[in-house]
Amino acid sequence: MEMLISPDWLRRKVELDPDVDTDAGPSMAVLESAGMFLPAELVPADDAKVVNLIMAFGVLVRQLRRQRQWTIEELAKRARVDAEDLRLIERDPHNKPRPRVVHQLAVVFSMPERALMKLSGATVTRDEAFEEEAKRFAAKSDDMSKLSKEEQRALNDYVKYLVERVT
Amino acid sequence: MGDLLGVYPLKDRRTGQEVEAKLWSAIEDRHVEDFSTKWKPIFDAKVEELKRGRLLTNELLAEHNLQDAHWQWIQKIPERRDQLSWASFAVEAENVTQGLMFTRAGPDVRAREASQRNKYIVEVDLLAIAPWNRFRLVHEPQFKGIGRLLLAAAISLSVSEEFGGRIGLHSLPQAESWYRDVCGMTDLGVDGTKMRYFEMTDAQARAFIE
Repeated sequence: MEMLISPDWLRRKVELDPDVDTDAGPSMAVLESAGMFLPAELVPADDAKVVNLIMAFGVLVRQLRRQRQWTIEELAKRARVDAEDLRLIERDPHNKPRPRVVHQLAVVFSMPERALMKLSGATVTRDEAFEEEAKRFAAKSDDMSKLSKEEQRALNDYVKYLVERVT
Repeated sequence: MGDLLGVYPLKDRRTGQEVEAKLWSAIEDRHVEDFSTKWKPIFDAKVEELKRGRLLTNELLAEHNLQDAHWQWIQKIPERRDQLSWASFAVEAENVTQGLMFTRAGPDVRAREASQRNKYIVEVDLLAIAPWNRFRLVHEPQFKGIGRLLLAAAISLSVSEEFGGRIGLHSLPQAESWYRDVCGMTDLGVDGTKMRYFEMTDAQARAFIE
């Protein structure tokens, strides 16, 4: 068998990948029940749903920034937050954004703060419809430097949803 | 002795440096040894920590059979070595096993996704990363890139079997966004395993490795 990827491919991709777990397979579930890996319900921290929400929050921030054609540094300056905080928000769904940063982003993007707090994992939610919308939105994202028409539409729809439906 | 499929760079999150990792085409005894002697104690420690915090009781442990059943799983490894339908892979860095994968292919392993229904695929039965590289177990996981490397190996195997790169797998809940949003696989919902099943078409496989 020949590997179809090069070391350089992995090097490039690893830089862009979010920091998330990648475990898979029914045998993983067997191992969970065998004590090698703990079943999800017994590990209260780092809940997968919160990670999904934070990932959607990162996508939203990245796309709103790209829509305005701002660099991370430019957004950091406008929102008066640390550029490193923004990098973590856009790339690391395990990083819970600080409430002050979320607040500043809500102001600079003219978004409802409560919705962004919910999406960033700063406030606890058991709203399944909200989680589903967040997942759907994150799934439509791409990493191209310019927003495609479809991404633009998905972004506008999701912003409308957050503004009108989330209280 | 398995074949060395290549040497690839992983990123050490703790230092920001690259570390060379070897990708092997078969899980060998030394990988099983690491699994038992290096991986398992970390899980045991986590169980103890949860017990101390009263998040895990002896009753819950018994209910979930969190005892020594992992040995039963380890016993399966030699059995699978003798079966053509199974393939296995291991990633080593710093002379320690960092990730393991089992795949299966055969007449009964077929695609479910509408555009490729019934075509042969490679199914990932297990894709496991060492505990010190996992977010649910340590605050600052060490190596990044193992899951992507193993998934690329599964796709490469699928292509070499003339399945066009088609693969299928069941994701653990914490990895669903990875397979759906990052790897671009099709989400086919929760099935009888109570896990979410994802499939990669040949076009999605090409996009993944390009």
